[in-house]
Amino acid sequence: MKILKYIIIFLLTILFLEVFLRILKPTALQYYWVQRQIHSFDPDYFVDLEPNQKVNIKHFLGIFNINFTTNERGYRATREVNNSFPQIICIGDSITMGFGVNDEDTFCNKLDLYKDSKENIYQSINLAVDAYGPSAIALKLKKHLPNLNPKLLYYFPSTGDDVDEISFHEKKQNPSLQRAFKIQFLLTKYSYLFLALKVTQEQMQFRFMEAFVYPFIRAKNLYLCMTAQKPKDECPISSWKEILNDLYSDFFRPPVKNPNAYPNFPASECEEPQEEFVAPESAYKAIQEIIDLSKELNLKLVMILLPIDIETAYCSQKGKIHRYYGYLKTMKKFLDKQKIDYIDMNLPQYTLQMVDETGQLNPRPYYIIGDGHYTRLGNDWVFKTLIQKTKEVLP
Amino acid sequence: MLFNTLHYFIFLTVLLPIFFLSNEKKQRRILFVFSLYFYSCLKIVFVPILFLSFAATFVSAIKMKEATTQIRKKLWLLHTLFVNLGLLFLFKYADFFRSIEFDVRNLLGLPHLDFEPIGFVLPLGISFYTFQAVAYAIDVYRGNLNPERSFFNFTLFLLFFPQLVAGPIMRAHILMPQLQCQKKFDWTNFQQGIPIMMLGFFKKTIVADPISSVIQPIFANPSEYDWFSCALASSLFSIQIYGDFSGYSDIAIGTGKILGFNITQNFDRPFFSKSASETWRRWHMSLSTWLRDYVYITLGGNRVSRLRNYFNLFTTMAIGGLWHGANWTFIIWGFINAGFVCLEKFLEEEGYAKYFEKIPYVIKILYAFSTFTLSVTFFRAESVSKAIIQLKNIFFLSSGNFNLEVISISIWFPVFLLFTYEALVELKKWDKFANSSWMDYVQPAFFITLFILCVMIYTVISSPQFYYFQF
Repeated sequence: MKILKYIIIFLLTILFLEVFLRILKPTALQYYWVQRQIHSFDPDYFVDLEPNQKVNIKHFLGIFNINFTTNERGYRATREVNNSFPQIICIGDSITMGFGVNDEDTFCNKLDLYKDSKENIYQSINLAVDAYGPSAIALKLKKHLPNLNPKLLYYFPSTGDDVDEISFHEKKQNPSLQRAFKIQFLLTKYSYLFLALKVTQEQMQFRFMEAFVYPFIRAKNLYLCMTAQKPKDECPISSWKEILNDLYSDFFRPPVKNPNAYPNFPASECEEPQEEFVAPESAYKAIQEIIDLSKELNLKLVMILLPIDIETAYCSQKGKIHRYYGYLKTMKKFLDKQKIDYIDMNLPQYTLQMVDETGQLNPRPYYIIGDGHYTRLGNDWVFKTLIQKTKEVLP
Repeated sequence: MLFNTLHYFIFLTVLLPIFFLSNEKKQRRILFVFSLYFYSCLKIVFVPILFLSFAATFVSAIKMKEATTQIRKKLWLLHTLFVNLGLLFLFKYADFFRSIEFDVRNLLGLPHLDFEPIGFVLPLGISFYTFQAVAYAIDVYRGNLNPERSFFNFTLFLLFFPQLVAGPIMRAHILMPQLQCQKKFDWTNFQQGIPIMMLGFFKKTIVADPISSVIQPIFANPSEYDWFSCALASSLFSIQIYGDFSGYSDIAIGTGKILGFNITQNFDRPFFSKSASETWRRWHMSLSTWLRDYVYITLGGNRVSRLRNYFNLFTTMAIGGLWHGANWTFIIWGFINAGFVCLEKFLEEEGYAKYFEKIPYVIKILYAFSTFTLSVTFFRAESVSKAIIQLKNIFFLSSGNFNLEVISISIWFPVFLLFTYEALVELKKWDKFANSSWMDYVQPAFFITLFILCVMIYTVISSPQFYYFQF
């Protein structure tokens, strides 16, 4: 009887939690829940967008509040696919999908209804989905391009592709991992409780680090700074006088920070790594497949190499190279060898266009704070280059 | 460290076994070290200020006891008042009074420089520990209390972490004897303490915090919204502030209970009061009684003329308002409450109470809640003018945008749960309800649900960093 009682209590708890969470809709969890609802599981490339979704994604810290719409085929768009139009395809990860901006503000959407000199109107098709690496992209293109009317393909490889690629192949090669991912994905998509447990468990780790590990790291850094074992520009405090000043400043309210202030990274941020970046073999293989596919479909392929983080853009503006650029630098060599048309927007000629409202060089307003995706301004910046290239390719 | 953090959970988990496995002397040392750590986690720079207040009060109390003349005794009392209220004035009110001086000079056309606030950060808990220290000193001055001779014991009384940051403002004669005896782990205390803490987390995390973001835009721009949104925003703020304040107190009381301490009750279901006066007897009781004992009675209380009594009430309520924050909005809040309390007192003295008796209970509750809501509109408003706009919108049934979020079920469902529970307790039907056979199953499940929800919501919501969802 006692065991039965515990079982009933357990089941009731699960039920209460699911019901309460659905009613309470805690802001932070709602943010993840909505994102889960717009994604679906795909047996080939694991994650895709759910068709016919129209949701509002509100960041839990109020950083953005956007609309996110998918059409009948599960592409981010407010309009249905119309194959009577020639099409410009965009593919990449969350940056290309336009995470953090409204449907109408993504650079891909801005290409929609592009008109060439012969008055042909093009429809832009955004096939991008967050966390896609080259292999997932190759598979998605193989599946979707034959059902479209593509004339130009923009592929936006990303710095994080190597990690996504490894994770993708781990799942591909390990059926049990694939099954676990599918179960986890579906449970967190259909049960608020499972999603909440997953997010909480991850956040708990961070909270623990924040309370008990980071203070020691900060103390260690302070020691290294005080004993001059760290470069000066990496040390906000390096003497007793500065410690006292810092303590004294604690008595006063800090001045209101300008969220768009110029980033203040230490010089070491822009030190180029000595060793060349080695991309996973599968990434080259997948890109080769994309090249072959574009040739097969008689489709112009242009790769756009974006600075996907503010650090890369910052270093580029200073004429230097950030370590995050390693993957794209390696990829460039491959593209040169393959004679593939590409634009490297990490080069200063592009990043120097990143100016703030006062006209000063500043990449900050181009990236969503604490998130890293492009803001509306960042999307506009990409679009300027895209439209020029489009005019060149589809005159 | 704040109560609604993972840090606090771990802090408590570490403290409990160490505390209960130690002897009496060690228990005090452990409490001292943990309380100091608890406070230092907030901002270490304010620890010396804490000790300055403690040291001044400790010395003054002993000197008051040893004083041979009344004048010396009074001087030592003034010394402790000067240090404690001086610290409070400096950190909390300096900019406010400087801005008043600036406005007066401006009004009179006197020469003045541009007003630049000092911008002090308010040391956390300063309003509580200074009032607690002042109460101790006055009690010693009045001869109601013998001064503590051990600075360690005295410091521990003020530093005791459950009540340090947000009260209840504990009196020395209640807390000090409790700190002197060995505490043993008591399963009954634990069983009682955990639900009180849970209720506190529920009030704070699930009831109060979500309301905050919903009403923020309305209080920021009341002129843009219609009367209904404004009225609901004001009502929701009453609930939010109750959830927030009483939630913290419940966590403090629950923590104290687990450790074997009885911490003073701070809220007694104030929204079930039948009058404004009763609301103030059931709201933030440790502050209300502090004001009654050390301000109202000092001014003469009700043993004076009727007019003087009203003056005493207004002064006490205004001080109560100012204690909450350095702004005219808080003073007006205090005056409005004093106005209602005086009005009720006047009607009672004039013999109208018998008519009031006949009014149905629900109407009386609604009246008391409305008076509270009216006053807290000033409490929450960014400025007096914005509060007036909001109240004008409500009373003149103004049109404007309707904010859908103020009627969302996600906000009102936890409010409904909380007040249903409180209604059952108020009507003394909770025990019968809780002892029904089906509650053997529902009650534990409900508590576990609340516990998990609170942990989930505050670990996730309070996340300062963006978390990129990995597939």
